[in-house]
Amino acid sequence: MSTLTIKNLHVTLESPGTTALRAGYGAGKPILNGINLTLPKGKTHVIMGPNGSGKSTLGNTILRHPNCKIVKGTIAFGKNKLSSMKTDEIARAGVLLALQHPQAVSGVSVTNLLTIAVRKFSEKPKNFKMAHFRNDIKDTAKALHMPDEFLSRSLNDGFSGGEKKKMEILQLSLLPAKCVIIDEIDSGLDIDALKLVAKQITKLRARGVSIIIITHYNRILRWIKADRVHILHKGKIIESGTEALAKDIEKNGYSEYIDA
Amino acid sequence: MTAKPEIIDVRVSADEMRVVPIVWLGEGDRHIKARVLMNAPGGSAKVLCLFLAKQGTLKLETEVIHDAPNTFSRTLVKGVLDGNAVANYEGLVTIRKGSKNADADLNEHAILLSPNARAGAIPRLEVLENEVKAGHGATVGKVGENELFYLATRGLPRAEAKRLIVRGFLSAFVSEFPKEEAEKINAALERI
Repeated sequence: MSTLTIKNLHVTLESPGTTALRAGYGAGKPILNGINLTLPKGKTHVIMGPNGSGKSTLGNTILRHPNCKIVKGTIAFGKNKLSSMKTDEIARAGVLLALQHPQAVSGVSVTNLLTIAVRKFSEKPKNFKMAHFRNDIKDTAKALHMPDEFLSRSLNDGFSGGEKKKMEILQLSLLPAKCVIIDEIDSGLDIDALKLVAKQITKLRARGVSIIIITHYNRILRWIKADRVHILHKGKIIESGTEALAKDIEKNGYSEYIDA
Repeated sequence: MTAKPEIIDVRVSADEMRVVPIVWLGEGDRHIKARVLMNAPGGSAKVLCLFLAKQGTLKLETEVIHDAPNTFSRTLVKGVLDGNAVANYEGLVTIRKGSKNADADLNEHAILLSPNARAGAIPRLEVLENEVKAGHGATVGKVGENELFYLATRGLPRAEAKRLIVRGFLSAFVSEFPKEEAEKINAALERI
């Protein structure tokens, strides 16, 4: 059984400037200061926290972003020691990340990317056939109310915030994921789009995929059942609880936990 | 560098449409000088240059001269350099007096895949007529770490991700080339 296990994780941010990693931090600044987290197979955990608490850095570190330097601690997924693997190897082990700020890739369509990427995975979906896979791409796009043209346009190039987020979920839904980290998928989505995205996440959950949802808001939990909610502050998990914790934060803010 | 430049000399007749394709795939050092003269009304020319090289040096000079009304030109240079390949480009577009409604554009975009590859671009416009449209631009960039990270999070190894980005960068441009050149370029794209 593949459990994601993060032990005493300390991370510094090496070179600032990329928006996904919150520009403004100095080089080598400690961002995560001893994270411990266990995500059993098929469970959904939510990580909440104020701006700059290290949420995105945690997601990026699990996928070994070159700017996130692990100073101490380990990340493992089942037998795979993610903390000593390369990003693409981690992805092919089934650990996927939906980025908060997905990159535009000019001249490469999502169909293009997915059909190349899926061949790289050794564990393909059952009875895998490329023709079926192409149909699955179309069906998933339809389920997300994305017109076909998005499947052949340059990926994320000139897409709106919401379209980019949908594209992330589309890719995670189609690649053979075992554990997904979903970084602020709810920012920039209107309520209808959020429902569609939540539906895809629920499908992943039903497939037994482990899920980490990074978010500022409780609202996505109206449609997705969370097994555990953690509050991240100054690079540490300062509180863990049930969905009631997320509701409490929505009502009273973070101050009660942060000041404590 | 070879001393003698290869000369391409083209004259565009009235209402004629010409494509001037130039391809360098790093097969050796080359110095290419292309000159396109449009001295009859309504002529149009596309000067297309694509380079894709791991080694060698390209020196490319293009000159497009508008010397008649309603002439149209596009000079587009696009390339990818790896290893220690070098490409230096000087592009000139001249719009002479009397070339009313001339429309000219000059662009170079290059991507560098290695720290030892180099690309230089000097685009120049000389416009002596008022009622014209003219533009130019040049960019030289590296394949960004953020792009590579993004593709890696979808399971693509670094080399494969780079290949995908290069193909994406050039593929739409390749389709503007005549068949013979396009086939050569596509074969080279298969090899990277």
